[in-house]
Amino acid sequence: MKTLSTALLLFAAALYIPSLLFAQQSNFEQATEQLEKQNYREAISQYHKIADEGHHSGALWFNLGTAYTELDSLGVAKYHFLKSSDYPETKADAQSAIEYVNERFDRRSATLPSLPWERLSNYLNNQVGIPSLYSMALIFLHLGIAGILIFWFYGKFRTYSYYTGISAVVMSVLLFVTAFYIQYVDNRYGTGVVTERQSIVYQSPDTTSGEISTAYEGYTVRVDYQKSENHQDWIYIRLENGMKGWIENQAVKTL
Amino acid sequence: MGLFTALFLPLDLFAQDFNLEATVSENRIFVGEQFNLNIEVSGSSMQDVSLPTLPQLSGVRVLSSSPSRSTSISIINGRTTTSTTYRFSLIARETGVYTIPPVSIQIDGETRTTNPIQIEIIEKGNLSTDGSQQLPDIFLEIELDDDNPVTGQQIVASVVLYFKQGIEITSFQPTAGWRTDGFWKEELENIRQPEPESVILDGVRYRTATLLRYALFPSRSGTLTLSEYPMSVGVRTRPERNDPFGSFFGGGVNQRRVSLESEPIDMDVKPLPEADSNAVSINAVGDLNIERSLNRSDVVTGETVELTTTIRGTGNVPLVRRPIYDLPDGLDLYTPEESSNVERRGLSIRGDKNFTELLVPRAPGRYSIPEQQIAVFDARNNRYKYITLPAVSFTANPSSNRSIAATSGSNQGMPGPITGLAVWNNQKSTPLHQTTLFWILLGVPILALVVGYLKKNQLDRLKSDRNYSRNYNALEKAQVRIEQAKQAHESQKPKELYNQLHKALTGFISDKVGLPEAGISDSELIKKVKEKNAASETVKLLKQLLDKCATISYAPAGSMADQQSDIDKTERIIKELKKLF
Repeated sequence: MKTLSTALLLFAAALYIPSLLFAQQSNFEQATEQLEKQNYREAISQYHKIADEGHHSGALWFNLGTAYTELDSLGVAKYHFLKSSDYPETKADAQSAIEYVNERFDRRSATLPSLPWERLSNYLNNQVGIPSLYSMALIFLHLGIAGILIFWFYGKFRTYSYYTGISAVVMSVLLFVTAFYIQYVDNRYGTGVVTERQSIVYQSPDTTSGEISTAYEGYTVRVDYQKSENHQDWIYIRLENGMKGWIENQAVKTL
Repeated sequence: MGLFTALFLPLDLFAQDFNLEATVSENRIFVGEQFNLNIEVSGSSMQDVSLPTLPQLSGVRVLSSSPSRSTSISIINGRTTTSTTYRFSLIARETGVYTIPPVSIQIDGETRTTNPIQIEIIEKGNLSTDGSQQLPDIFLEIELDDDNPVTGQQIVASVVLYFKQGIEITSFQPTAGWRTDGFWKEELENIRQPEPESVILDGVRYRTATLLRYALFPSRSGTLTLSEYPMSVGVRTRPERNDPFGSFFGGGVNQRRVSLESEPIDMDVKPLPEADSNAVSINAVGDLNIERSLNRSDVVTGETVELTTTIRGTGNVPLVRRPIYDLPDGLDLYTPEESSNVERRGLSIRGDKNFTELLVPRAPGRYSIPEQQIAVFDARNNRYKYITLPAVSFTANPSSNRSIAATSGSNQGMPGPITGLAVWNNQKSTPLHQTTLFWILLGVPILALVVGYLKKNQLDRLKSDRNYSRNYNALEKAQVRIEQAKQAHESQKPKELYNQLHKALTGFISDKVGLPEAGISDSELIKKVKEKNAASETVKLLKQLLDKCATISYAPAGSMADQQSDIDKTERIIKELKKLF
């Protein structure tokens, strides 16, 4: 009897645990079914519920973007596609969707070409990654210090170890500085998408201050988190055309 | 008007036999009245005379830059005189006293100029010097039915011609140049045959006829100006004395065209009053009706529904703006189409204007465009009339044979939704630089470097600094000597034992203090120890041991236990001294 009850318990556990683990997948499929049936609002509600539970995936953000596109909320759609483009498995589809959505905006911002070090920074951040930079810096640091210690204590390899050690340490410092800078930029600045039809960009966080420009739905902006942290309802942004100013934060969704 | 004043001012009596004169047909002219500037060149020996060149004129407008020309030849006493007159037609524009500057003309290759002529342009009715008003024989006026309208209100501007008895109007032709900035202008139905009426102006009988009518709709508030209305009028007059149109030779009927201009009119246009905040303002003024309808009540998502708003009636139909409705979410609004049809009937403009908005539902559901009030201003009663458009709604059904994937597929570049197993990331990974491992991996090599550096420095110093090396190795050397003393103790060699103990103590102190290794007396060493503030007990013990070591060659060695005790004392003293150095 005891053996039977143990077996039943194990069987129940075997059934229950995977269902817990894959509940979000099941919910995701239900939401996608609603999306395919064109019940966009229901689908959006279910997708958001999954995200609120802490489960994130490129497919989830992509399908949310698709649902918002169908509801013509193109700014919000673009925001979700941009989130989806951070995931390797959905990056290509998300980029196609972003292009499609961008084509549908009534107004598009003039884009100021980014500066060379901004391009380098973006490239290193997106293609190499900060963890990789830190890892490489650590490897070079270890190599360099080993070289220096050999130079100090083992006369046999003095010449080689000296140059190798110094070079590796210099390389390591460069990599640390680069990683730190990219980390700083990554922490300080973020990407946002204007989700309101249009919103005024002011000189200071005050609606009575001078107007700098108007940001329209779908504009991608660079958000300065550090400058914005002391202003609850405002964020400091840089438009793609290079103009900077304050915008009310409900107008922009930040990634 | 009948007064014909001419300036007969011979300019120069040149050696050559010719005369140059400039005259005006009137030197006191009404605003809007036409007059002539005549340049006459006469003489008997002129070979080549060019066209006169008019300078820049103030207060008047030149109707034609090329003058009419007439030539007469007279033979008196066998002498032939040729006279050529160039006539410029001018029209008075602004009141004031002006000077017509000298007119230059080339006569036989030389430039000659006339004298300047002063003219006075006066308002209509100010000609009389005795205070009574006088008006020109013929003049044009623009008459408005309301000179203080609101924006968008229709006003009728009538072009009215006044002319005296004895003048017949044979034709009239508006000429280009009437500026109506700030107005939308529409010509009303033409008056086929203007009927002149008789009026008395300032005691003078005039005949008046309304020639044309325009509907004007001010499109903005503020002071707007209707410029001078120019018109060319064909007149036929019976010559009278002082008749400006009369033939010089008199007799018969004189027929000619005159150019007239009305005076400009400034109009103060009031802005439309504020409408109720719940109502949509579309700039509608007049007697207008508005309707709104949908062409379908059931559609499939992606199909088009037409929302048509029709504004119909009398008023500023073409100026009406598209009403902006509060549309529900989920509708695509395509560029609205608008069409209008305007009819001119009598003195009013009526017609209809349609705005068609194309709505495309993106998702299934019931879409309702809520009830909306539209404000129409009634200029006659000076108040708004609010027209309520009832709510309209339609249902969008899901497409049965069309999935979203298919929809998206029809939109080039838009991938369909992602189905199947998704890759889930439940929490963001901690950045590498925030992990303990990172700091350990960073700290270990740096620590190794610091330690290595210190060790390297020490090794270098041991090699190069003898005192440092002795100091560093003092304890070790002392311990070696104590060990040798212990071996001597075991081998029962007391002299060797005390020799080693002596060396251990003196060597340790001299190495630590940096004294020479040989030639230093025990008392000097004890003195150095005292300088280091050693405890008196330690100094005393040290002195005893050193004395014993020095005298052991001449005294009995003592028991084995005493020897062991001395070894222990030596170790203790070195331990104490180590703390001092």
